[in-house]
Amino acid sequence: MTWLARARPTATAAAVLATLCATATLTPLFASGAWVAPVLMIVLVMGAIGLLCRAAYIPAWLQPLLQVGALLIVLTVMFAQPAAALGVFPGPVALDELAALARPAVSEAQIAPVPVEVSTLLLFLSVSGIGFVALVVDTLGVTLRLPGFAGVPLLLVCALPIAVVPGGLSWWYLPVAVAGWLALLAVDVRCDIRSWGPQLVPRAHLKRASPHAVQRVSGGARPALIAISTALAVALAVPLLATGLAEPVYVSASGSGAGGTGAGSVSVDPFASLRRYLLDIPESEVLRYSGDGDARPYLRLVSLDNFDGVSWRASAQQDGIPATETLAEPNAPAVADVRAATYDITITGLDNEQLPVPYAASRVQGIGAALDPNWQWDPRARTITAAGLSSRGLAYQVTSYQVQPSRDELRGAPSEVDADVAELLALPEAITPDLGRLAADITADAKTPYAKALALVRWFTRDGDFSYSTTVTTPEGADPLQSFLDERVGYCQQFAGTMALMARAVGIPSRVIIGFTGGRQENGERVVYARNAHAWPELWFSGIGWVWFEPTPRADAGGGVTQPDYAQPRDDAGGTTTSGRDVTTNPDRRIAPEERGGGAPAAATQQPALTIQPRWLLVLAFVLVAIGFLPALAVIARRRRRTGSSDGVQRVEGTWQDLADAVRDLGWSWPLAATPRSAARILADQVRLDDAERAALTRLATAVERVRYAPGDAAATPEAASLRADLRRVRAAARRATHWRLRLRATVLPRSLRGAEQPLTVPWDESERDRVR
Amino acid sequence: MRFLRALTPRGKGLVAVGVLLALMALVWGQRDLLSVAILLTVLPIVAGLLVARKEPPLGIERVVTPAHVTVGSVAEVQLAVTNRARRRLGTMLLTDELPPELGAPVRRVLADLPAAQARLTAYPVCPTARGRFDLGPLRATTIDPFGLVKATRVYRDTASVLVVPRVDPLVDGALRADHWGRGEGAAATLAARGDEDVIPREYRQGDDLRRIHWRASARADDLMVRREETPWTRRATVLVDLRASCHAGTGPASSLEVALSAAASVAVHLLRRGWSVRLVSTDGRVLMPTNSGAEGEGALLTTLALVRPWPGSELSLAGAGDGLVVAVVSSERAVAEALGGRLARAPGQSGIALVLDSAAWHVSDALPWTEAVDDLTGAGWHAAVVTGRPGAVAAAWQDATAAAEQVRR
Repeated sequence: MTWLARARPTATAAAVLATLCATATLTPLFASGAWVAPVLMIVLVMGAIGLLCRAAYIPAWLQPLLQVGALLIVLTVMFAQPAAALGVFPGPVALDELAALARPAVSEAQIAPVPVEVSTLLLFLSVSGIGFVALVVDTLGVTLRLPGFAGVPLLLVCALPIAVVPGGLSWWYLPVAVAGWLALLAVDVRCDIRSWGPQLVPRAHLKRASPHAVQRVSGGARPALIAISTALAVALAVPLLATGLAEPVYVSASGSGAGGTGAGSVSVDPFASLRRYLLDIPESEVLRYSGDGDARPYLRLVSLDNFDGVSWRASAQQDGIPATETLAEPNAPAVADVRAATYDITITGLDNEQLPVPYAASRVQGIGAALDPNWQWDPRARTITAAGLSSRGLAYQVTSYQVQPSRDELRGAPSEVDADVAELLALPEAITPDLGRLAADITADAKTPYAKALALVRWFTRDGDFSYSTTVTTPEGADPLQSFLDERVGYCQQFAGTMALMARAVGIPSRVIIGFTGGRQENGERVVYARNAHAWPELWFSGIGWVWFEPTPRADAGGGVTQPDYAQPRDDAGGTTTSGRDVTTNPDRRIAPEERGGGAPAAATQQPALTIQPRWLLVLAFVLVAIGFLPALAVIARRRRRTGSSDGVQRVEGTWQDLADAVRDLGWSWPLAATPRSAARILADQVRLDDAERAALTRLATAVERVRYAPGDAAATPEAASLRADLRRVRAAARRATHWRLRLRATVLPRSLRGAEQPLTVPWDESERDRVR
Repeated sequence: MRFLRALTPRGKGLVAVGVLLALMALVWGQRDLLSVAILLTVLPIVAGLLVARKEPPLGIERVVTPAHVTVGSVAEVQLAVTNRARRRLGTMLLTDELPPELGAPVRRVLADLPAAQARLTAYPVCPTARGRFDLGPLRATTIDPFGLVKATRVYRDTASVLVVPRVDPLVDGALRADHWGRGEGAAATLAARGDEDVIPREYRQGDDLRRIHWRASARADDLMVRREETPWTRRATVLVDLRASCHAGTGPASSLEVALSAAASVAVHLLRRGWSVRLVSTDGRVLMPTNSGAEGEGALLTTLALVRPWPGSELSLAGAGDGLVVAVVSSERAVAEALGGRLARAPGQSGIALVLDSAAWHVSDALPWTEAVDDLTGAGWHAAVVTGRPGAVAAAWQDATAAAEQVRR
């Protein structure tokens, strides 16, 4: 075999093609094509190294290591060149630098809205990820000749755009995704065919054909085309016919994905992380806190005060104030009850550029260590942010003023608006006219801003017939706002955003806050989970300042969502359930689905998915592992069937057959033609048995001999009494004598299940067995 | 359901992953994922429908050249596969099963065969044992281009191959072979002599009246006719030792095979020179009645191909008739004595004995071949030894016939 044939250039090309095809499906994720050239380069590099390794007899286990080394070199040259040893090699410094890139890259990828701008971090992630996939595909598909398994990493790559691209993918996605992999399969089959033997030729060619010439394998193209085109047509047509499966619609997809927003300052979609908390990781712990003020304040992360026609955004931040400084007490001359309260907050699982603080925070101090001075106040929103920093692991003490207006004070607030909040009345021109009309209808009876706000809350929570669901469908192309008003199904994001818009429509300045509800009491401190992520509106009242409301209907009576005192509906007969913040309905429920929509209509099975969902990958991995164990289950079921037969003769024969299969699965010789006695002897020659095991084997063989050769009730002999125990003992001995790799193979891929052709002797030559042993 | 059985592990994996993905897609409402899932599921099914449809009717034809294969020689089998279906056939992996005596199964690829066309291949077979063997059946495994489906069909048409003992070309030791035995040239001698030398025989019903030899009739006082046909038909009996107890060894080098090879070589040699040959064994069986010419050669080889050793050990030379006797016997005292006694009882008969070197095959009770040859020579046989070496039969024949020449002179 020449070195070229050994290197398998065709299969290598197919593997490269397969990786590139799968990578091509990522195109919709990126806003520009800057990622294409580096990714193409790394895939080619991986293929070339695989080629060279095969040509140079590099053992299969070493090849991926070399490829990883090459990947690291390429990454170092691209992203950590100054720190590289000799300018090329990844020394410890460069590796540290790469590791430092990896974490923020992953977190950026998780929250970046699609399509993303190709930043250095994302480029790093693409090159390293695709490079790794390329090396796995090359190793599995070409070197180890397992092209079927090479489909797994490719499938994971293709699953990415499916999971994150809003609005579905265009039709070309599917053929492109599978084309390369199918080519890899076809090349492998070609190779099998070629190694099977020479080809038959027409009569005229018989004398000319040299038996040693390498033959082109012709044919196969036509059935391949038929198979692919039929399968593609079915695959593309069936989902269209399934009407229950409308195209997945992403609630604020237009908000984060639409090109016109141009909100360059906002690189992180806060709603995306909100959804991620609610849907992907609801049970993960976010933070713990304790304090002397309000028992369970809403904790604010981001304030969104700018509605761009589609979605709420944070307006570009003005000059921040370092978080080390203290903000003034909120200006609320009309409120009597303003108390300072301190909370000790420990972030346990939140990885964010904002610090959660209750309203109205004025001072924050690090506990243990001082806060990074880059944390800055947004003085108007009283939120704390830091570009590029992470809140993970921080602990700090917040002093905040709890402004608790009474109903009378609120009722007395005039409808005038201060100049500095006047811009928070802005509504875009393009907003649906129904909104203003509807808001006016709802608040027709209300005179004061407070009454209007209460009317809105009542409408959302009671009169409007809204229902809560985190899984929302919107017909494609429809305005999400209009759709929400039509369908009246949504979750906190829609309720908060719509109420804020309506408030603006009736002349109340408003903004949307994203943060967490108060969490759950555990061992003297409150614990906030990701499922407590929430969005709510804040409305501005003259002389009082910002006041929060809760328009999200408590469909599940969850422990997290509460109504402030001043918004409790007093005209309700139900004074039974609502007595303000202190009511925590079932606060310690293990699974408190406050935002999960446990009682929400389950009809809609769609799920807005804008971010990578690690749960998917986990499920996929679990499923693959489960598939790996299916054969073992089948073997156990077969054994139970064989050894449990009610007919004595069948039981003996079944036990013997099962032992034969088990021994052959483990790679030992068990000749088909051997008599029971000789088979037992052959097994005993191969596997070291102790006396008890040897006796068990002899008993089994004798039982079979009696069944086969002795007339009468041979199955009732003493040898047949302990069949199962003997089988177990001999099988255990055979397993013990087997190398773990063969044992694993016998478990995961037992050849006896394949059934078709039973090998007469040891499946591979003796030299290999010796090596393995 | 046939295609489900036909799925390869890869195909099954694809279907399993496809079904799982489809479930996931339905649970999460992912249309694109559903497309992928359906593609993965449908692809093996479509491939299975393409591949595992009705069994494609194939015409299988095998031609073996030469028709009689000898052990150790190589024969060529030409395998022709004709597509008798009305559709084009995809790629098939063919396995022509051979009996272990003829070699390993032959693997060939049949790619893309249009309707009503034939494709050929040739492969050698190298038999290691005598007998009649069947080539085939042919297994045809249809595969799809992606290795998802595999369906194997068995075509039971077989062709038989007759593997005969090795026939070595023999050369007579004497320059003029008619000097030994009642051998060749007898007819010519008869024609050259005059009437006086005519040996008449009694008239029998049906003899031509014109052939009555009146002078002899007068002398014998009975009707005598001229014998125009040669009285000495060149008739030979080949006696082969088939008793299992006198043979040892297995495979083509065993003493039995060498004996059969020697018998076959001698018989073919005589047949080709115009002799009539009959074949008998030392246990008294007539393996082949007198036969001659090409037909005789065919019958002889078929007989020798299928003959099996005789389980008994008793010796009976009843089958040996008159004429030349060529005995291929093991080196054993009983045989030597029986043969010697026989020739002594029938003077005028000549015999050639090829004695196997049985001791070299470790046959129990074997006589050293020198003794056996001496005994037989003493009893009037022209004897030579046949060893296990290649070319031993030809050498022994040459020795024995040369010995015959010397004795004549």
